[in-house]
Amino acid sequence: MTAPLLETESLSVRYRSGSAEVRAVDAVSIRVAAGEAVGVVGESGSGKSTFVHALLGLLPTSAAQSGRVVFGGREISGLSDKELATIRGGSAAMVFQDPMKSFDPLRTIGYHLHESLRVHRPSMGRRERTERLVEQLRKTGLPEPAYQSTRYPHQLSGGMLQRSMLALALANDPALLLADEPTTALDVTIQAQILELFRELMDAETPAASMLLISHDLAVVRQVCSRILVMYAGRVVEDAPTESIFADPRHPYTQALIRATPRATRARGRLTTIPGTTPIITGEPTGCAFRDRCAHVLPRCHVEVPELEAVEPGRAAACFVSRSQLPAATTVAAERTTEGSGTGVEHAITRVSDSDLPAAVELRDVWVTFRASGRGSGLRRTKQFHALRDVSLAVRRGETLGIVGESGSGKSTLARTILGLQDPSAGSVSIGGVVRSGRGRSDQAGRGLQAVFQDPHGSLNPRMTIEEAIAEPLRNMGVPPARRRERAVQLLDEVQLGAAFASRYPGELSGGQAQRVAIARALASEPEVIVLDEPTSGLDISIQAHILNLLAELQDRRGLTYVLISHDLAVVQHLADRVAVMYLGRVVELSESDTIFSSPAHPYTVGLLAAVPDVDATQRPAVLAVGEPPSPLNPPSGCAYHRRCAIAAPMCSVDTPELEQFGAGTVACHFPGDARNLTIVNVTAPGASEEQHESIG
Amino acid sequence: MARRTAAPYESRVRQMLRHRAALTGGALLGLVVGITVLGSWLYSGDPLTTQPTFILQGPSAEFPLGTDQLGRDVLARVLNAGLISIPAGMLAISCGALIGGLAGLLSGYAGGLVDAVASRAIDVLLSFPALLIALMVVAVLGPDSTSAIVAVSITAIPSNARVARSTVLSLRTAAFVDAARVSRTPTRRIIWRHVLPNVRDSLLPIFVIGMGNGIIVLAALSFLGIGVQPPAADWGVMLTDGVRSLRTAPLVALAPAVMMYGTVLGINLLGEGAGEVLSRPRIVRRTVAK
Repeated sequence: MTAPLLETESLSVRYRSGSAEVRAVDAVSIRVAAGEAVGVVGESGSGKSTFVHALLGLLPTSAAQSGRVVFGGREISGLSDKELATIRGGSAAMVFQDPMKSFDPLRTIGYHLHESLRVHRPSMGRRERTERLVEQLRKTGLPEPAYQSTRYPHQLSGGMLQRSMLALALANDPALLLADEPTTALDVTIQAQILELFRELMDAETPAASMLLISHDLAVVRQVCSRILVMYAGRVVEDAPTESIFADPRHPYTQALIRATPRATRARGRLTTIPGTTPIITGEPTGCAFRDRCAHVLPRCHVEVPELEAVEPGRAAACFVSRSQLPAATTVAAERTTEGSGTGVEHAITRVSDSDLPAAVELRDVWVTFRASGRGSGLRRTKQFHALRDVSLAVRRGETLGIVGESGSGKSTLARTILGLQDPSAGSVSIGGVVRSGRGRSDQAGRGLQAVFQDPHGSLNPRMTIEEAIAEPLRNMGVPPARRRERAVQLLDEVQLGAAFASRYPGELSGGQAQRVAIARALASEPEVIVLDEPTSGLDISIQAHILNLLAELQDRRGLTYVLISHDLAVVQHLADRVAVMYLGRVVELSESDTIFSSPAHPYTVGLLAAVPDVDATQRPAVLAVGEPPSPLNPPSGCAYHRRCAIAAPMCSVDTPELEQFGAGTVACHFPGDARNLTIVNVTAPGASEEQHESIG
Repeated sequence: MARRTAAPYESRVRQMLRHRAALTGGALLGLVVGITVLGSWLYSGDPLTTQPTFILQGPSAEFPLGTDQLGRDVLARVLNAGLISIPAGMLAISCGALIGGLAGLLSGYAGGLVDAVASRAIDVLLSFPALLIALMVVAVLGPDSTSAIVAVSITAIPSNARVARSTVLSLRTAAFVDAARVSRTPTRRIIWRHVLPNVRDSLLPIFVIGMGNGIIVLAALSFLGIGVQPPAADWGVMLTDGVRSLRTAPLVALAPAVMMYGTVLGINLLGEGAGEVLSRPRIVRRTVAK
């Protein structure tokens, strides 16, 4: 093996926190070969981001860093900030998570590239630089690069900015590209485009650069990287080629993480979960950091820290168990399917028996219109924009209706409208057959309706104890204090937290715990319908699995109706019975979950599903939804999707399609079902099983 | 990536004790207040007795800080003046903060026309310097200590209202307020239990710093002869007396000046520390990944 491009030798990062010393990164030694794409995967607190920042000396001064970093044969760990600056953005470049925050808002995109080229190539002339930067922007797929380079960051969309960020990173032909969650802030169709771009860079005959891709999302890493490092509590616990890590994970944590990821399978079973949360390591570790959550723990794991050692040629794991025996992970898929089909049937039964009752929630021709101040000539003009356009849908009792869509699709406005936090500008909302009057507490329609929001900490008042928070809905219903306390404890039990939490404050809770409290509060008033607005998107995968299981369990036990809003299609598929797909304020497809996921009829649904990276890699994400969603301030005429649609005909730009029956579901498209054929262009990854092929349909 | 701290919850008081500026300020303020309260209790000199035979004397055993032009004991006067200046400043600013904070809270929560009208009124108040507003109020109410306190409390209204309003605007859309609304919590309770306790954090620093300012404006009014009326004396009145004899008996002016300086500096440092500690995130956040 030739000398690696990047090598670290027991790289450690420690922070002082009060009297304790926190080990954020603990003795990490890795090698990255030239042209190799390595993924670093871990949950929050795993130290993955700190590790990558430490490579280029980008940590705050409060961090104590030790160990060696060798890059291109030169030790760079001891270099001064000034010396490191010649490397950063030159031979090693970074792409950050939030493109909006990574650019100086007062400078044009072109200025940023100019600056980088000027610093690292002083001999280059101005005109030459301009040529090169436009070329770079073109290479990363930015439309009209010459024009876009003269614009400011706020004038570009997230996807365009991330393309520019990548162009900036690649401007000086770096040997190493460090990408820290580069697609996490983007919509899934845009993520697919950016991942495609990464893949093109890496698949080229001579790869443009070596890459270190950090992500919490196993599926994203799987699309791009050939080798994966799994980090846990500051250490690398597994290091293996991508295919073998998914086929045969050797560390119990890796196994659990892969199992806990909700998938595009039709089974609606329980996810395998990992108990507990990621620990914070202070002081000298006494044993394996994963031991308290591990199903295979040995006595030895409590007293000795396992080192990263080869388990077979080309791969290593830091686990005592993996060297002796570890139950194969291959049986998991089977378990999931059998478990799932059982619950699926029960659900079908409850639903049918309730079909005569009025819908749990019904929206009729609902419009929500906001005024936005736009720039007119001279005088300020207000412009209208419709967050919801003519939305009609009914949620049946006992079902889970999933609402999916990208940012700006109006799914959150829909949630707020159902909850009565937003009044519709036109149309009506009825809850359990009672039309909402929009009169706050005297409105009868709002009873029996509850909500769980995205940010678990944000949805709990930091100044109220857990008990007060859970008891508040009861208090509003006039329940006496003693009874409230009793119920709060019961509810805490029901969400598997226990009475000890009653007197704590939200600040003392982890994200998963706080979300359980939010669920307990939602259950307190015995609601029939719970609106779940991105209930798991703020949580780590292992925590998400707990919450999804809890939600499914509560629904089975209490016969709850859920309206589940999520950008994460795997989560929706896991829980939902029916799914509504939204695009620019309209419902464009509404069908049974199985129908939508197996044979989507609207071209947007097809594009959306194709864009989702699959953790099982049965299909590579394909870019079918080209370009970016249009601005809701200035929506295209006719079908709002026609500019991004592969099968659009001239009539699509004139005539707005209505939601109509098609096959088993309803679709708003002039050519329903025609886009399905497009999935054939998908490249199927080798090793996909027959059964999984069918589900692509 | 957001990092969790090891100790998830260190009390605010503890954090203040570890904050250098806050600690220094608190100590300084404690010293001044301690001297004032204990001193006026222990020291037997009388602030009002005039002794024409002992005019503008230097420090002596009988008069540790000398006497003023009417032969009054400067030490007794400065201690006694502190008992007027400090509580008067605090009272005035407390009233102002209460009125301003409530006005900002309600106008921010109500929104719409109420908010527009209230905000413009605050803008008008803010466009005048505090001292000018105080002068106008005293001109209307007539010069005495009550009207000076009223005047100073009015000067504290706009800044408190502004801060309260902007905090409420962000709290109004907070997820926990939405959750409370979904649970059909009465608006009154949302304001008192959900919004107000969270506004307090952002109001406390400007409330504390405002107190220093209040003491200065009150003294200024007395200095100009339209605040506390002689023979009663606060630090402002003493300064008026002192400047006339600044060359011959500098202590008459210096003593109240030092006390006032110490009070205000202590308050400002404390306020600065409080602001910094309170702005630290209360919640231990984890990454919000999409």
